Amino acid sequence: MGKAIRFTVEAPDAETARSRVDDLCQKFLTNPVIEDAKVTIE
Amino acid sequence: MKVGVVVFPGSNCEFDVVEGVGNAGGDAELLWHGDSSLGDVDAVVLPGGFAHGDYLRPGAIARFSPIMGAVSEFARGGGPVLGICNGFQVLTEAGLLPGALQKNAGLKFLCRSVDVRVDSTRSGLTSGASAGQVLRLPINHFEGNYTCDQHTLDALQAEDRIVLRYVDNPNGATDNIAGICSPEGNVVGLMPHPERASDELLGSTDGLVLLRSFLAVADRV
Repeated sequence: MGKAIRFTVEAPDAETARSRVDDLCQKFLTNPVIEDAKVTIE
Repeated sequence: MKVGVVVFPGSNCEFDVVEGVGNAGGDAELLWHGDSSLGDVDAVVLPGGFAHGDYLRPGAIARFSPIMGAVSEFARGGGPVLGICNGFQVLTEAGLLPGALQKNAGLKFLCRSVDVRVDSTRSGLTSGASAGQVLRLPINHFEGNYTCDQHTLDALQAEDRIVLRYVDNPNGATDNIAGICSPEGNVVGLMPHPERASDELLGSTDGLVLLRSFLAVADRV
């Protein structure tokens, strides 16, 4: 694992939160050319 | 004719580029990343350094700087854009060039001069050089290992967009890639620093042929 990023997302439900974080991963938190992301909601 | 050199928080080669452009016979001015306009410049350089820090990934945050909208528009309109080192990383993160720069094979920061070969003269940076010409240029990076998927590599090769290759690959880059260009050739990114090889005092003037090409293209646009 290269890095772990932990943060709070305000969303009406877990599905919306996951969708937002997936989008964030694609556009910012990871570079899809060289990185994969695994999202876990706690 | 004027070259704009974008300064991000953490850029550290902007004055080198201004000097290098001057050594090549051009004029350059600094542009601030927080501005949303490029003013009246005829060409844009994204210099080396650590734009916004490399904490997340080199170039990851810089692509969101206000000026990058104007840089993208300028590039898409055919304007000459050059990304050197961290500037190359910013261009890939911004989607203006394909692929990515990952950590060097061997995980060592590399700071030395290397030989690179001009393999395509269809870019704005290499149009005044000769195919096969070998240039001695400094590299200074930790994430300079160019990578991309096979489809992208096939396209880069087929379209003659790999403008510079390392003679002796220092960082593990795919296909020895040191620099690539956009399909139109006006956007170019490279890891070596031509501006640091632009005066005899610096030990090499091999970068001048590249900087002069870039200036000549900017003059024609």
